Amino acid sequence: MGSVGVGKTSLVERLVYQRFSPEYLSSIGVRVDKKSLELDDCKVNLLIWDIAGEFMTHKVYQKYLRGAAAVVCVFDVTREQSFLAIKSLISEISNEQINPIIYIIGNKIDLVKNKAEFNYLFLDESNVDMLTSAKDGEKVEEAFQFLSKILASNSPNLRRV
Amino acid sequence: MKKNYEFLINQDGKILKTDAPFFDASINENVAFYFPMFIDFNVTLDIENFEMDIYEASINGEKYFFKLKIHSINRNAKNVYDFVLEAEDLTEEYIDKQKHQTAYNKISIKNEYLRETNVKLDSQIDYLRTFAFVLSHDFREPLAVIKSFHDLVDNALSEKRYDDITELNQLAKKQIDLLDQMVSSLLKLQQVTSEILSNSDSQLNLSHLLDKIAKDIYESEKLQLHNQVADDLILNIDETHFYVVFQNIISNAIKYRKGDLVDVEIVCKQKDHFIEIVCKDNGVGITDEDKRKAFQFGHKGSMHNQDEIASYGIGLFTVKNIIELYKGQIGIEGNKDEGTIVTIRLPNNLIVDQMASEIKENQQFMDAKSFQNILFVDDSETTNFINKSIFESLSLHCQFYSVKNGAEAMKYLLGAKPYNDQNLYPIPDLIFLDSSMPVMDGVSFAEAFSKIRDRFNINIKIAMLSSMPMQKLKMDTKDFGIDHYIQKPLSKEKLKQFLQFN
Repeated sequence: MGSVGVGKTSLVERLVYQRFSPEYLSSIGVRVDKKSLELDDCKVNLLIWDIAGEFMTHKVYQKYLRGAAAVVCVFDVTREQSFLAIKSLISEISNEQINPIIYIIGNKIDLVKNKAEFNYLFLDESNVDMLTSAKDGEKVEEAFQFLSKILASNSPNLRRV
Repeated sequence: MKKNYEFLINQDGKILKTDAPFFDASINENVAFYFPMFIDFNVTLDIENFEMDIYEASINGEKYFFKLKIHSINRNAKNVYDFVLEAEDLTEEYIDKQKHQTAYNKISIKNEYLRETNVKLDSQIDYLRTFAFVLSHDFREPLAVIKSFHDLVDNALSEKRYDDITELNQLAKKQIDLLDQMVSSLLKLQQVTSEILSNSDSQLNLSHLLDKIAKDIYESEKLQLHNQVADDLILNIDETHFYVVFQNIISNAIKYRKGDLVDVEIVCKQKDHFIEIVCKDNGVGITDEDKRKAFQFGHKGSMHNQDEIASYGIGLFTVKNIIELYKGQIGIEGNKDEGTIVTIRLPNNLIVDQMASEIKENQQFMDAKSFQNILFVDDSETTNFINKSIFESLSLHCQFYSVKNGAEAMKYLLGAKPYNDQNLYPIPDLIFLDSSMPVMDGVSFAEAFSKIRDRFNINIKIAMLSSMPMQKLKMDTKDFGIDHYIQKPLSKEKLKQFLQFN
């Protein structure tokens, strides 16, 4: 989840299909993709629900949270507003009767690399789990690997391979 | 055209039957082939009540939008299917909607940026208001005192009390010094708030800078600096900026010391995303109110210990501006009588990778060899000689020529006498131009040269040197194609920076 234009679909495209399109096309509704990741001692099948950014303001997303093992919250590191939106979303999720793992990704790190443009300081205040670039592929696989490890260690019904 | 499809699915998720045209019955697929959310058909979802708003699917390379609904049905003994998935095809409608949504979202993102810019502008306006208020107050006070002293001097003169005059003059001088220091502080602040990080390649050894400040600083004998910063830490920061930063922090420690001496420990640690510089002293500490307001323009610390040292409420505000210029953050902690801790965080991309930097530097010097003929335009022969020596100290083997003013330089370039022999006076590919010279100064030369620049079939670069404030000079010459500005005097470091940019 995350505000419009933060790169949610691009992250999924990079993770699942190893591709990136510079052309921005808004997501409508929901797109679902699957990805299998091999961990040290198990294989995790991720079913990733890519929910359109505009749903952030409609509370439509709530029904998708039921049954979700984790919510990946994505923000654009160049747009502080998108980070504030994530903070507010996390607070809303905490008020629901659900308890998924919240995993925070700061995307578009390629735009600030080697530049002193990124107000990195909010990283310190919050627990941003990974900074990624869907464009370059930087840390995308690692982000979901890391999430998978958290999920695997939290799953009582884990089927070990 | 039919827009609703049905998929009859068994308990294992296998599609038994469908009227969807994209379905290849021979594949005998699992429903998850088309709809990945059913990958773990029996356990993933509350399947009997599954309903979605809009689902975007890519099927055989085509994009579809469906509204999906699934419900269980009674087991059919013959066909053995358990679920019906209804897929309402809304592709045509939603392809258009997606285009509109994309345009709308792009505008929303732009609006977000604009809103952020507005907030910044509002804060600038607030700052300017406070600035004007504090200035009018802080300048008026010493001026009023000076005026009073002046009146008293008049009285003393008329009453021939000459001893009083000396004392009054000394008191007035203190106020004048105060004003002078305020103006200096404001000038530094003005430089910082108006300056763009024009020279992000400047490299600074932080540890050396701290040692230098400890020697230079006013009342340095009252300072015991424990510099724990690694000696090999080089940062991509400007020396002047960070001199101001640490000079302010250290002089505050001296100002707010407990006894005759203050211990200041400066430690620098590299964290995951930033460099943290912690400056800790054992002074009088800081009140909660001062912590909140420490970085506000015009705020003066309440625990001021030394009456003879003035506080203008500008120093830490300037420091904060500098740190923010580098996208960093500064904070202040401490309690009364327990010393003060100032913490600075800077993006860790400011750390210079020494090896990469040296390779780059060497490459740039190699490239710099393309400068073959350099013309110095300066009325001081000594300056021309020193500048030439600095070039030579970097092993740059160029030919050097010099003229005394802009008018001579024009003659040189146009091949007028005595510069009419091109073998003796070749067209330079670099001009080092002083801004202030008799006859024709650097600005006038730059303007005149900009009109004839096209005549030359080589690209002549101009570096302008000046001891005047650069900002005004840049404004005055903005249309004349100056390639680089260098604050006088030229140094090896400044020349290296220039070569990196050119």
